[in-house]
Amino acid sequence: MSLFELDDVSIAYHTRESAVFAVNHVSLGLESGTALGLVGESGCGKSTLALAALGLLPRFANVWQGTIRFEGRAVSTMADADLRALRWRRMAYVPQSALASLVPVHSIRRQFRDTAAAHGMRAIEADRRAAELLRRVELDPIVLDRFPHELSGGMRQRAIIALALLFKPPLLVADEPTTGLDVIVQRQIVNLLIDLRRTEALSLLFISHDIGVVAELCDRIAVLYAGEVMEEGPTLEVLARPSHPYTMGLARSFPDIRAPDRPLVSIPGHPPRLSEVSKGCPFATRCPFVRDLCRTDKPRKTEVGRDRSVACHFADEAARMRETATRPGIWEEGVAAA
Amino acid sequence: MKSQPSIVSFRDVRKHFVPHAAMFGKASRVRAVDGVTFSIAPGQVLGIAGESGSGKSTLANLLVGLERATSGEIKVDGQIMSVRPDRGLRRTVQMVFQDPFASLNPRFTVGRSVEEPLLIHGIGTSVERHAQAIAALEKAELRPGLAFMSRYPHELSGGQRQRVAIARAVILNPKLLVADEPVSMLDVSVRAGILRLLRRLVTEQHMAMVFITHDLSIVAHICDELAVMYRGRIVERGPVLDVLRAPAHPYTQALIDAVPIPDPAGAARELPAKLLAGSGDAVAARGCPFAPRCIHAIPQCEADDPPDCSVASTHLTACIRAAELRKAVQ
Amino acid sequence: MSNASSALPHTSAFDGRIRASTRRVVDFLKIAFESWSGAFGITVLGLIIVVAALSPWIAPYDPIANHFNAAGQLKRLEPPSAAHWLGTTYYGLDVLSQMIDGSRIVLIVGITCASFIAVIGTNVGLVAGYYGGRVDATLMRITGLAFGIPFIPFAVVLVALLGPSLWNMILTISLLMWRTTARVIRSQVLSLRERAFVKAAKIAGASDLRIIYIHIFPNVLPMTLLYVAFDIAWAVLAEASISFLGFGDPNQVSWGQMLYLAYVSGSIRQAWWWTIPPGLGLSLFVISVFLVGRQYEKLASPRLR
Repeated sequence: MSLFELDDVSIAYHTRESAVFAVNHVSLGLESGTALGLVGESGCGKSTLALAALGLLPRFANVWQGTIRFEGRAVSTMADADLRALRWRRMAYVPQSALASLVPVHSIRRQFRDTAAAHGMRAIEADRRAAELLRRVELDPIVLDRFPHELSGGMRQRAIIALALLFKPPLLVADEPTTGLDVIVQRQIVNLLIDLRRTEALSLLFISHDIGVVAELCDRIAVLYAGEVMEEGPTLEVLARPSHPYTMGLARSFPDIRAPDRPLVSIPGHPPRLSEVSKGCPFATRCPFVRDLCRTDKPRKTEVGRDRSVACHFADEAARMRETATRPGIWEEGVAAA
Repeated sequence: MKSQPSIVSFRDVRKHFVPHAAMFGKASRVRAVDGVTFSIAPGQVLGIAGESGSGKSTLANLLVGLERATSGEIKVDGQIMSVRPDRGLRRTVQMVFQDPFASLNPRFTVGRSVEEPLLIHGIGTSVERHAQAIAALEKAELRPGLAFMSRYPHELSGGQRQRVAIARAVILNPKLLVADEPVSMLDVSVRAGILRLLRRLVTEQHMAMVFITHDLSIVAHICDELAVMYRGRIVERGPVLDVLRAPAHPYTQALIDAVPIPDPAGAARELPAKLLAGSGDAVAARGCPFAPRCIHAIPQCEADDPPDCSVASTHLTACIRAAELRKAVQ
Repeated sequence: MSNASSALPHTSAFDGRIRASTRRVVDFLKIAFESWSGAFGITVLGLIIVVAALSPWIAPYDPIANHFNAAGQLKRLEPPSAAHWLGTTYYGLDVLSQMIDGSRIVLIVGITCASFIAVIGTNVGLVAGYYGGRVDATLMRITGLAFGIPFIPFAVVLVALLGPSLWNMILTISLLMWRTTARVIRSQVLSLRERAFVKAAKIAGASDLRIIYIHIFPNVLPMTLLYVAFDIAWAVLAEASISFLGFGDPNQVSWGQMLYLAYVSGSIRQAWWWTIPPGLGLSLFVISVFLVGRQYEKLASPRLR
């Protein structure tokens, strides 16, 4: 049984006029003790998935179909009271911006105590755990009596990670925790997460647009586009030998500091808006290998190799496409679509 | 590279702020920019790389005349830059911002935004302005330009908005373009296109460009020269590939080491503890600003300001141990 | 998309703006009519506007004409009848005609004051918020003064000095009520002036005035309009209060004036046909203005894409 599972999940946001789907028929699994990276660009639905996992979707959004399961229990249909028992104790959340998530007028100690109290831990115990956790994330416990604005971005982020570990949850959902941080601070946070995974047997659902960080941190990667999973599998394998044209383009649009002058790819066009629904493959409008079938039929998940799957009609031609994708002209710079 | 006369020249520029008495500590001067010198020739791109607190944003503000230097001289196209530069100077320096949405007036159509610089300077008739705006949009690869003229920013994608901002910036044919992290808020798959566009415009319009970023991995795709800033000073400067492949300053090396790499063989690269500690402290008045965090620091580093040491003909670094550390590596 | 050869470029842009504005008005009406409160508000407001506009023609009698019965006696305090749908006042005047005539004052005072308040308040807010420093401090001190002065006593003093007339009342109201708008607009400007598009305009060479009025003002306009709506209601209530206290323009028929006369003639307990219409009229007007303002807020606030 997977620790965390998405079973054919679709999530809709309801506007006055209609419903738009941020997530479309996504099935993913996270085994205990592993780290899964959700990678994609704006509008791919990764943040929505993170919120849904914790039952934190806003009122005007809901899981339209499918089930989200945590430790075998359906989280998407759970009553709020049961969800609260799970949150923070069994699964915790590390948000993107610590400054936006910490109460600006409360000291760090107060935030720990409040979180602890909300989930049934006494203040004395909370203080003890807080000091222990802050040391674990390499912060001086003196930080407890500081306010969020007195800490640097990196220190705040580490404090938020410590807060998330308050109850030793088996699952940590981290939504872009390193975005916007300086590169040296980011390295610290990534190293810290790697270390925590090792020593605390932590499972990690890591959401990011930065393939480099995901590659260092996660065992498996799922590439999302327009709310659908394009490709999924062991991280280094997927990045070294991608089977989906989007992954091929995406991987080549990431700069590599070891090869600073390797030409970068730019995929013409832009990720679609939520309101634009496609009948076929959502990537069809930008794919250099597109054929008529792609525009009319949605590709089904195909197994490729061990533990890997890809959603492409022409998955069996992946090797050939991969080879073509390395040619510079194939991703023409292109004219931005009007 | 320096064969052409430079169009931008920064000479020993300093910008110091004295904040109001802080609540938790004494009010000390913040030396945002502390003795920066460089020059750029037209058609060249200088990259300024640094983290938060390096002074790169203040540098950008100084370049465009939004701030006045405390001391030193800034010249663009032969004219001295001061606060409230005259209209003429305003036409020679333009800026592209980090947040493409915030840099466009949400109540203006794309056409109106792009025409605004022309309106400010009273250039052309309404028909001519319209045509020039369309031309600028098409130069920024938004085709057909006419179709974009009546759109609003919220209808466009991030990449398209940034192209509009670029069109607006180049419509007056500036001599210097300051790009402040122009791609860091864009989706990765569109970044390369914007970088290529900027590079092309620099060449076609014979402009100089200052490209400010915190992301070292993209600098080689657009910059000719790279300057690394730390706490208001340039600690290393040289041809971009030289600096990236053979960094001479310990800070540059640390930045490069910190970038995540998908490496199957790698364990997490540990950063030296000295580097991580004490990053928030105020910088001492004398001595190398990086010395408190540098694992190669010797007592002399903190005693005097390090002079620019030459590593190669155009590659300089402000580190007194640069040459000896290099030999140790080789 | 469009074929550029047929239309002149600048006229098509202008047409576009007109079309966009009509679309916004239509959108607004659509939203307003979606809820009961919105529909109610718009209907009542619309009714009052129509009545005020057509008042010389729809009023059955001259509002200040005394009516006598067959015996030559003044038709004092007559309850509603076929001849006088809302009865008569203590002075023999037709209540319905007075109501219809008084609706004009509601609109005149409401719109004029709201316009003055909008102009004063918005400009103070724009200038204070943009320049900051001493300019801001001075303007905010003046605003603080305006907040500190209590309205009714100030109105009494001003009327005593200048005499009770409609214009003096409009002046009184406008001189104080701009304070809230000023504060609200100022805080909006404080955040807007830090945005990158303002920086971009500065770098392009725009003067301060240009930035304030051409770049920043369009962005605070929705907030201004919203407050205009509320200011209309406050201004009308203010006028009614002043009139009710007896400081109103004796030559104008207004709903507040009607209540004053009813009170002063001692008829307020008996002649419900004289007191309820103006009271109800004022209440309905204020409620509907607030309701319509709320609908406008819904339009102006961001919705899901």
